[in-house]
Parts: sequence; structure tokens; C-alpha cells
Amino acid sequence: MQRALQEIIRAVKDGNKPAFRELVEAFQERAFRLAFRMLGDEEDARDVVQDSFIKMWQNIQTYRDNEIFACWMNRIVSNTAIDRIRSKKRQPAVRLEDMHRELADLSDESNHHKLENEEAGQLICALTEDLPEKQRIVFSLRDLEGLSSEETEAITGFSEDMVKSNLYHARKTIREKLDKILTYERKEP
Amino acid sequence: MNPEDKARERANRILRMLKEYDPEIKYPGKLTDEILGSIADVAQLNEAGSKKTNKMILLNINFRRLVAAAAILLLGILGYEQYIILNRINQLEIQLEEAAVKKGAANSSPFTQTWETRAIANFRKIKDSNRSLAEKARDVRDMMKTIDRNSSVRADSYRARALDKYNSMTMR
Repeated sequence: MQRALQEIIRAVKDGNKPAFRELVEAFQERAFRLAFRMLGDEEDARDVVQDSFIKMWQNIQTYRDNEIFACWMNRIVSNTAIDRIRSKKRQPAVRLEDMHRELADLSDESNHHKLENEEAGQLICALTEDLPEKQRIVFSLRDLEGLSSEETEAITGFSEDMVKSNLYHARKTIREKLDKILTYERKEP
Repeated sequence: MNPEDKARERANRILRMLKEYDPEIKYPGKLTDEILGSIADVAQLNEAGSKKTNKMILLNINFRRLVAAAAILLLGILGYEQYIILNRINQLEIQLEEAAVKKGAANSSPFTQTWETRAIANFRKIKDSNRSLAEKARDVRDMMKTIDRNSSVRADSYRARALDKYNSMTMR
């Protein structure tokens, strides 16, 4: 697969558009997942994926053959998503306190509730809304996307300690928020 | 299990679900087409942009050359003009001086004087004013000396009178 991928990339470097289509088809799902987990919005995630692939087409010559393509792509997608987070004026998202019915359904083991894009997006936004930008980015990359610490450091440019401390504070804030709502919800008649 | 522990358990479940949730692209084929379409647009824009940029660079270079030539030409014109004007003024001054000498009134009017004559006259004026200033300073110095002398004479006579008075009082 890696060999075939390298051949496709070589063709893309030569300006071959059908090869680029193959590359997009193979990786757009992955890019979308990362963007969605960072932004919590389907439309924004689609835009970020589009912008990221345009950047990849324009900068494909900077890709080195010994690099893992997925990591290179993750870096571009994350940075584009980070730019979008920074540039986008925060919309008043659905507050976590207003989602206690959905939270109750999700946390109930007997209820086999299946998440949809919209609901998951709202939940991501509600959970990360009050977090400072750095904590939000680190939480999305490490906990939601499941990237390694090294990858997160490479993407964000933060030091190891910075990633750790931001992740710690983000987790703490989110957990406290959830605990508070779920405890309150249980006490309600 | 107390309510706090239960809440923690439920929070963990929510976070786990969110982590495991794989968002799906709606209409992936459409997104692929959009990406490929954007690339074509960007390429066209870049091409148009580079053509425009090249044109702008050429225009810029020509404009710079034109401005440099105009600046040099302007400097030349100004230099030539200065030369002509100064030369004419010199000639006029010489003519005026000659005319004044012929009439025997070289120093009668400032208009008939050359700049050298005017400079010498000014220098003389400065010299005269310096001299009068020095004379005034000397007068002031003499005045101060006189005051000093008078005051010491008066002090001596006062002292002598006081001594006499004291002696006459002690003798008694």
C-alpha cells in the first residue's frame, strides 16, 4: 500500500490530476474526521478538508518520501483547522447545560443511543467551548483524534510539557463540567 | 455507588463514545469533485496572477527608469539655470561697478557696490561697534574703580572718627 501510495505521490508531484483524485479519495475521510473533531461542525470541517487538499496540491514538492503521508496530511489539516478556530468568531454554541437530556441518553448503558454528526458536533462544541484555545486544540488532537504526544507536538509546535499541562487542564475542566451536570441531572426528580 | 461516582462513570462513558465516534462525510464524491474543481480554479487564478505580476514588474521597471531619467534631466536643467543666472548677475555687478567708478561714486549707494565692497563695509561696521563696546566697558570699569576708592576713603574716615570717640571716652 505504502509503495502504491509513493507511486501516486510521485505522479502527483509531476502534476498528474487523476493521481491526485486517487489521493483525495483515499484520504479525505481521515482528513474530515480530524477536522470535524477539532471544529465540531460539519460544514467547517468540509471547508477545512477542501482548503487542506488545495494546500497539499500546491506544496506537494515539500513532501519528503521518507515521511509518513498521513502525518504530513494531519499536520496540514490541523494547522488549517487551527487557523479556522482562530479566525472564526465564536458562535454562541449549544450550552452543555442545555444538553442534559442528550447527555442522560448517552450515559445510560441500557439505552443504545447512536450518535449522529450533528449531535456529536454539538457535544464537542459544548465541551470545548469554554476552553482556552491551546487546551481546546490539544484536547481535540490527543483525546478525540487519538494522536500521539509527538504528533501533537509536531503539529502545534508546543513543547512536551506544554502539551501535557494543556491536556491535563482541559480534561479536568471537561470532567468537572460533565460531573456537575450529570450529578445535578440525577438529583432532579 | 454514590451519585458522584455514578456521575463520573457516566461522564467517562460519554467521553468514550465521543472518542470512538467516527464522523462520516456526507456525499464524499461531491467533496472530491469540489476539491478537484478548486484546484483547477486555483491554477487558473495563479496563472492569471503570475501574468499580471509579470506585467506589473515590467511596468514597474520601466517606470523606475523613466523616473530616474527625469530626475537626471531635471538636475541638469537646474544646474544650467544656476550657471546662467549667476553668470548674468556677476556681469551686471561688474557693469554697475564700472558705471559707478566712472561717475566717481563707488561707495555712495549700496546698489553700486560689489559684494566684496559690501562685505568690507560690514566688516568695518562690526569693527567700529566692537571698538565702541570696548570703550564702554572701559568706562564702566573706571566707574567701578572710583566707587571702590570713594567707599574705602569713607570707611577709613568713619573708622578714624570712631577711634577718636573711643579714645576720648576712655581718657575721661
